[in-house]
Amino acid sequence: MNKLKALFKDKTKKRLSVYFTAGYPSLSDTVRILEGLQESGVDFAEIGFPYSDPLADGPVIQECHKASLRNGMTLELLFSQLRDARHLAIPKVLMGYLNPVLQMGIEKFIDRCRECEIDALIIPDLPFDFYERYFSAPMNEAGLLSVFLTSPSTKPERMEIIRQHTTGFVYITSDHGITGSSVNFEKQKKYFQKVREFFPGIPKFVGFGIQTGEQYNLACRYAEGAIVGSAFLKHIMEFGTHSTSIKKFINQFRYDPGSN
Amino acid sequence: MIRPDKNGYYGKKFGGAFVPEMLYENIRALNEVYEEIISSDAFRREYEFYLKHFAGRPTPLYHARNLSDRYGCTVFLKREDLCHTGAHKINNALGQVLLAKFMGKKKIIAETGAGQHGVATASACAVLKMPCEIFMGQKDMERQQLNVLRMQMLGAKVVPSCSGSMTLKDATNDAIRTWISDPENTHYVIGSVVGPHPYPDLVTQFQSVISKEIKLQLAEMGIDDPTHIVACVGGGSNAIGAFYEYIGKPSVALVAVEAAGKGIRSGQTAASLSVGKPGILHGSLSYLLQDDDGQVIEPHSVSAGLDYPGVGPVHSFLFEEKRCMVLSIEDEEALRAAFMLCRTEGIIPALESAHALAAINKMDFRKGDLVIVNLSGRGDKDMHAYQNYKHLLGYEQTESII
Repeated sequence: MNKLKALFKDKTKKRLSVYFTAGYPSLSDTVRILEGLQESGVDFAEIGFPYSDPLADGPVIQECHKASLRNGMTLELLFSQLRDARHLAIPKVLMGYLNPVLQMGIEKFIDRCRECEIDALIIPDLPFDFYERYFSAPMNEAGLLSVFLTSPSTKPERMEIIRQHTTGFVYITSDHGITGSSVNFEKQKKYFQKVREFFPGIPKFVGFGIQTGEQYNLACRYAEGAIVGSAFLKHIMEFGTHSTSIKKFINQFRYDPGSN
Repeated sequence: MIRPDKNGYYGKKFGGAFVPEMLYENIRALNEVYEEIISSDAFRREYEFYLKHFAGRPTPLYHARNLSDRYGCTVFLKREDLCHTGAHKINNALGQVLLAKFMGKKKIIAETGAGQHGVATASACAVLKMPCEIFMGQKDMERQQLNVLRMQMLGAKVVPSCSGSMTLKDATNDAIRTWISDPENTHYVIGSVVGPHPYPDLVTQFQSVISKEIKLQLAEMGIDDPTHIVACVGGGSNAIGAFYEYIGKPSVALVAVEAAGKGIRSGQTAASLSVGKPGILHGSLSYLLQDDDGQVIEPHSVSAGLDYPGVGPVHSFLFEEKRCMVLSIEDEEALRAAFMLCRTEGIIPALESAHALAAINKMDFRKGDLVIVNLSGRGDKDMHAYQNYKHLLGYEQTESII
């Protein structure tokens, strides 16, 4: 069974997901970071594959994409690393831009995902018409879940389309803006509430701009959990990818229902 | 004429809107209103006023007699170089800034490579009283200090783009990222027929004034249609503007001229149609210079305005449909053509336009042919580049053909 689906079955716990860019800081760090995240009790990992022009990303993730490409990361290489990481029980979500996928070939890409036991796919610049035409059927066949984003500007008609196509979870971007922006989470409560009401029964995760345990807690009140990306990458830039460094970072994000 | 389908595709394949959700609503809102606004009488009145009295349109369709003698056919130059701010870019900048005003936007952002589109947008914003921020690659800012100063004098804030390779494509990325952050108040004025739908069509509509004028001007001279229209293509806005009215007329050969840089096989080129593959950049699917893993390759051209790794989706469509002929011109050939035009017709062309001029040298014409070259911009901005090629001075007198 899809490991992410299995995870979502238990609705009693708030979840934490961590995004990182594969091949950063060095090529061999992909599996090492996955191990560190699993050991630290992170619920699922989002593995970013690099693109030369990451339109929705802020400076931190841009820098990681650039460095990863400089290190020589390619999709083929990433899949060969992920093949060796199948023993890790942590659910794995692949995230990246559409162009590298198109150049590899959609079928081949999805096939590789299946081989590597990837659980879900996030492609932020994938439009729905394209998804329906080329991705939906082969993804279903491969047991790969779909994840779509909402933003504060997403209209109800659009949310309806998102609801129809989501088989994994809804990714609630915390604000207008790109990854790693500073966000006033207090101001976003109304939007989080609106999204929560719109997607009953579908898991929801808040991402973009989560840097502190407090923000994580607030996000968890409206969703099944939250995703930390830029803040994690900034941490490993400074403190490295050793599992104690990762643990130290992850420990800030523990859900405390008594707070806020 | 040519229009994309409702999802922004030309021929069901090229174009579209490959944007993250944060940008979706901006694009949708623009898409919903732009056609109605730009075809309204109120808009047309304002736009035509500024095109005529501010930009200096119509631009002449100049019968270049000396060039005609040289090539043994009739050559006309469409003088976009005589537009205010020195190139066709002002047609689009005025249109979009005006559109932003009609949409109730409070602020303009734009990207620029060499600074032409930036200067045009800054001018349009000054006259239409809109605050303006121009994103420009850090490297380009160093290379084009005079244009940075021009934009600043016109009241624009020039924001250095330090991401990626710090050139045009990165300035475009940063402009889009900024637009994501303030979608409600800001309008993003893209400089060419690239970007997510509806931008390629929007910019096409504003640039189509070029071929509309050509048609009228030929009619006034009692001439029916040209046999050839030649234009340079980076993103492709001056080319589509010059082709637009003639796309449905197969008797008119449309020639799109790409920048080969140091040669299309040299790895230092900007010839996306000649050596690229379809891929996605800046929100649309089109021919793109990229490696086997789908990573965008930095282009090269001596002409900053052609130094872009992609090309407008409409050109990819015309190319695959074989409706246009694609030629590529190397740096050196363009430079020679620029020096040739100066001496032959008394016009210093922009390096971009020099690519189109160089192309007619590679084509065979018959006596009755009527060739229109879109002279998209003037050469003032390229004087520093020309300075490095002073050895080309007077060469055309010793060579009968460039």
